[in-house]
Amino acid sequence: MILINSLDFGYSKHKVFENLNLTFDEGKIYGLLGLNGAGKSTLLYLMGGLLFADNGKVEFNGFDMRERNPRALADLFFVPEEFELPDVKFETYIKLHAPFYPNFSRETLDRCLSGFGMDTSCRLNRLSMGQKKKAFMCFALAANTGLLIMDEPTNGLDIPSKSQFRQVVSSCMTDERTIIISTHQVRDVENLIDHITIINDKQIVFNRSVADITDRLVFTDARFGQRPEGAIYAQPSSVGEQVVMPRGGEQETPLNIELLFNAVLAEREKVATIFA
Amino acid sequence: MDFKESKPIYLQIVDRICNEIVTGKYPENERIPSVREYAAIVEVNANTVVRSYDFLQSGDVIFNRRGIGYFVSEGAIEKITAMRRESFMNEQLAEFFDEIDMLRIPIETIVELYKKRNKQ
Amino acid sequence: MNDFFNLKRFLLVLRRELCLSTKPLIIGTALIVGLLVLNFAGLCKVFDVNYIGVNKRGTIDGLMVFLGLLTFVATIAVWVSSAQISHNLARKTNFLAFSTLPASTFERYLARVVVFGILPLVVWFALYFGVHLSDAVVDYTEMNDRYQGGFIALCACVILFSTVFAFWGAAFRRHGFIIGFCVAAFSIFALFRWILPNVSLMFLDPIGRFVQHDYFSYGRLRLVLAVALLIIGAINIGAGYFFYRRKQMIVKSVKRQ
Repeated sequence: MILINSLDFGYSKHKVFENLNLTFDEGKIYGLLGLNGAGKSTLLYLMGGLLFADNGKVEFNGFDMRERNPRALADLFFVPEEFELPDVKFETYIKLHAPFYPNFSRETLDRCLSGFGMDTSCRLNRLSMGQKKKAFMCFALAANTGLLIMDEPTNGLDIPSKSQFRQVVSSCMTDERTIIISTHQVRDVENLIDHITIINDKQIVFNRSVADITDRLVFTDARFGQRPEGAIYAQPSSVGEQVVMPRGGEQETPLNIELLFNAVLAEREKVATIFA
Repeated sequence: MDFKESKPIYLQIVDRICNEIVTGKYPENERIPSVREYAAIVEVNANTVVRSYDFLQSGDVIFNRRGIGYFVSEGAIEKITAMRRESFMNEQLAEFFDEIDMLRIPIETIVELYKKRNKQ
Repeated sequence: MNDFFNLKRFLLVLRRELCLSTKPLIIGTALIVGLLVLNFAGLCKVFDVNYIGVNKRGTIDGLMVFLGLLTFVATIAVWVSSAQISHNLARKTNFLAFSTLPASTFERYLARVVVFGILPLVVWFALYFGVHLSDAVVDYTEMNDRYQGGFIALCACVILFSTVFAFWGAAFRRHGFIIGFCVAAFSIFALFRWILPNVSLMFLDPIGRFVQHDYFSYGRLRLVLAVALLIIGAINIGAGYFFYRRKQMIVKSVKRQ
């Protein structure tokens, strides 16, 4: 479990987070969203011990991440947006790195790789960008860490791979694991995540489970001029408008993450009152 | 699996499983995939599939054997058909009636067209 | 399971560093070996020469300076290697991969020190002293006292400035090498001035005069050098470690700290 308490963080020129409080629980897949430059990657780096907070604490399983305690790191895996893999065979890479992760499972690795249609016979730096991502992600999942952080995981994956990504991640999830996915490509992870956290303007502006959201909000289409009363937010679409409304007794609708995101950013107070 | 805009995801999954039962992919008294296995197949979060399974359980379409998994109930196909009938009556039929009223098509015209269709 | 240092884990980190750095290591080693072998070839008895820059007739000639330079360059290779201890961690991608490795900061730092600092030194010294086993090269014992002192000074410089580079590299990343190199280059000129008193390097004269007045006997020199080496080396390496601990990611080309 990750606990972020009264976090302050900033660079000399500008502050990124101010008095941020956040927790991440086990057994959930979190989607971390925010505008460009809102600080998603920064927050992930703070959780991974790559950046240190100015004030406040970032705790993972009771370890202060500032200490970079190896036991904490052995239960954490970070898949960044960009990374380089060394010029070795995949098998060599596994041999060198797997022992650091006590829960590493070779069986999981092979299963995930075959989910992507790959195996370990490749030479890592000769792979294309997408292939590298897939290989590294499989290693990350096979490490079986309690916390898995992925920054833009579907960026660079071709269309069939996005589907494979969902399958592979879904099949590797357990009740003890926490997965945090930071992304702009919300469609790629739409049905995978079960909790949405939105960062904006140094704060958490939204932090709810998907079950909660679909319980209290509906996302529908409306024709122009027929916007329902009580609609919190609307944006143009091909049939007219896409609308976010508080749910009455009607049936739930699937969550439209893009619509939710825009609604939260545009009408933060209105959304907050619905979830109060 | 591609998801439509209208129905909640968990209900769309319910439909999918029901189709698979009706077409014989999961025969009665046979085991269906676990929550996680099914979540991976349709690429959704396991919690969503839990809702689907709960829904099917409450409709007596599947049952759970602790420690073993979920199984298709006896007479599931009939139950599914009954479920779908009810759902059709409550939703699509109501919508249909609203529509023909709005367009002012008398019900007799509908019956005529139906009889003509069946003759062909 | 010690959080600060665990031997098993440390060996894993070491193995990783070695395997992933084979290319630069091989190149670096080949460079050092190649240059020193050339140097030795020149110093063979065949050419009737002595060790550090002065032949038996007591005068300097072009060949000697050239061979001295070769030693110098081999030494530089060792120092460059020391600077590599933290250098390529300036890049975000490398930093990330390295820092999320489940090992303590000390283990990671030590592994890099061993691979990039100690290993090249071992190669350098192994060659110098190993070659003595063969009869073809002028022996340390054949040198007179003065040159022995100079030789020890040279060895001391190699080790000492390795640690300097290791530290400044960690502290200043990109600029570390330049700063360290200037410090080292200045000192090595001072050393050569000391060894080659007849060469007139006006601006370094005070140092030469200091030696010529025999304020230090060479026995004492060795002791002083050994102690200075240990202290300054330890300080450098230790300081490097503390800088390492505080190191954070560079994000958006804005430096932390």
